[in-house]
Amino acid sequence: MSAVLSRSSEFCVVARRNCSMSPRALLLFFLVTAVLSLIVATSWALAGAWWVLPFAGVEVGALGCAFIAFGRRVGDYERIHLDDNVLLVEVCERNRVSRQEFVPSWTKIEMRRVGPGSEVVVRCRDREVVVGRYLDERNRELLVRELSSRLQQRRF
Amino acid sequence: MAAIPGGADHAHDHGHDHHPGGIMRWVTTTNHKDIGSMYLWFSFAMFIVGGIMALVIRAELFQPGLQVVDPDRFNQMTTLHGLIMVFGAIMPAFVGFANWMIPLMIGASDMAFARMNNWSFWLLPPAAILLTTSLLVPGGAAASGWTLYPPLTVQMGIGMDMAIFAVHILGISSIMGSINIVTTILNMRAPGMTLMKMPLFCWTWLITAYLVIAVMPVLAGAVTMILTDRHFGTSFFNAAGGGDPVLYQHIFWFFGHPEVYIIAIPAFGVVSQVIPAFSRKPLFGYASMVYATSSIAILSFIVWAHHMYTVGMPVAGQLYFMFATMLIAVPTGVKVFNWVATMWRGSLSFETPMLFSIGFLFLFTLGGFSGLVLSMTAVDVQLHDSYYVVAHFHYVMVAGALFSAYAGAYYWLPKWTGHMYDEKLGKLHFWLSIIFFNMTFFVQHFLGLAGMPRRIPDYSLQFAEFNMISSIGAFGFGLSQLVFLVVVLKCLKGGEKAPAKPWDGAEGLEWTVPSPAPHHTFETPPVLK
Repeated sequence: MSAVLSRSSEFCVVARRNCSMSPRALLLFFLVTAVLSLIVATSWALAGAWWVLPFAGVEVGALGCAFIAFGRRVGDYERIHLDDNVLLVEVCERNRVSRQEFVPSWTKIEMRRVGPGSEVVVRCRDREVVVGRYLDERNRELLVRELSSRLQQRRF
Repeated sequence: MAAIPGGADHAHDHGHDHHPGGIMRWVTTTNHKDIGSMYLWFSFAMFIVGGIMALVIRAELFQPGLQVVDPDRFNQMTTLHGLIMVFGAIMPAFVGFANWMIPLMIGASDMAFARMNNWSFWLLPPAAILLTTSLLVPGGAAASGWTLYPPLTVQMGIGMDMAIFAVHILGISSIMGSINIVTTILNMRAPGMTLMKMPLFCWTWLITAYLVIAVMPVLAGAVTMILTDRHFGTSFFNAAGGGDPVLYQHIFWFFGHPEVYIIAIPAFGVVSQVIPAFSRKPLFGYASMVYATSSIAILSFIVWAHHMYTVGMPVAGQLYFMFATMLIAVPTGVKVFNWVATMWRGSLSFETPMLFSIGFLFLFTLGGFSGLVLSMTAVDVQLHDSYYVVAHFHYVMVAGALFSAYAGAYYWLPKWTGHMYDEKLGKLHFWLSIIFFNMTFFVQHFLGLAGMPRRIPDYSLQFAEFNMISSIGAFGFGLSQLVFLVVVLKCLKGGEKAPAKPWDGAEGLEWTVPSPAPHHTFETPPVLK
């Protein structure tokens, strides 16, 4: 999903990883599952079959780990912000944010074929950063076209 | 629900990048389609192995007396047949469907945890080897029936340990698979696909995965306690040491009854995709189908002791379990009526997937009715552990789950292979299956009503005719399954090219990708209107 802010002097695109459930809803789902599973296991433990409890514990733990592992990727995004002086490319992956600033008049943006697919490369001298992972082919092309024309304007 | 054209990337196939070739492709693959295919092939192989065991059983029962195997080996066959069919054939078959179809149906690029997906599959072959090779160890395989009841299981040889270990491994695989499915469905649906817009197959798998997560620790605990009773001096189930064998039965069936629905609910999902496609109408009562499936899943937790009426329980307990069990007929009826209503005034056509779905509908309903009969305590006391029960659960498991799996396989084969299957052979497979299935199992109702107990290698002369009919039917049914193998091999080898959407009434994202589905699909999710 992407949000685009486009004014005469400013251009901003935010592309986020698709995630169809909010962290809050996921937490709720996990809590309901964990509570149910542990109630069942505790009941059997009280009836004398206590071996059920550690297995339920391990399993609930595994489910929690899975949700956390996936949840760490939920906040992933790419932000491309262009103003008069700087082109900022911000990439957040697993809660780690990296920012790169480029001088607009020296920067090129292009599509690069990778196998039959493509990626968007922002290049300035010997530095480059790949973006557009969360965009489809059509929106990648749109991004390259729009950003290229804006970068072009800043050259003259 | 429709995808915006061009809204997704999938038309390219870069299966060649970073992928080893040959056997290592299959060992190391993390692609949901490859893993789905492996699950399906594995389940078919186990279906053949379990089927051969069933034929050994039916060969022995062809006529009274002991002809083919000794009673010990006969019991081992019944045990392994049950364990292999439930854990090795039917469950992996539907996990295969889930792997192949869920990401395609929700517009996801793959399962949430692709490497874990590979592990969940590769745990299965060692478990299968453990189960089957246990026939070769001193004392033979577990011979207690698939329920593994103590105190018998506490006394058996090393084959029992192998079965316990296999059940543990299969359980781990199921849990990993379920966690993956839950995470995928909850988090990776395409924008616009709300839960109540999901294809019903995805809903049924979400509910099934939840059931697996809820009950697998119970089974793991139960078999571990048998293990500690056998080797570590505990007495959980050993009456001589102060334990209670009936406790095991409660624990087992607390797992075992939801397990029935773990098998049946994905089957409901497949049929809910196929019937609307060949009726050329949307599924009737989508929301009620979701609620009915959820109700069945919830009720499955509170009915377990209907398997134990003869064990001894208070009348109040018997009444409770009887009425709770009967209650399941309500949501199940909702589903059956909805499928019929979907067909009502539809523009029906009867290709093989539809034939198997209608076969499912008739025979599963029949199995449900015999289940209602068995839910009545007074009747069950007469029929418990008789061939009536064997007939009942084979109507649910074979005509229910297996027929639905065939419906799904024929329905999605063009998408998987890129070729149309041989319709004539498919129809032949269906008609042979339905005739021989009924020949095998319908007569078992009469055997049970006449008092023939299950799990015996020899029987009284009065049961001879029906057993002979049943055995002939079983061999016919077994052999007719080879037709399916021929259909699939032919389809893989070539045939008429399948379009992206080979069924004009089919709906859903899976039909927006080319046939065969490219190695990578929906790398960026489609947007639904």
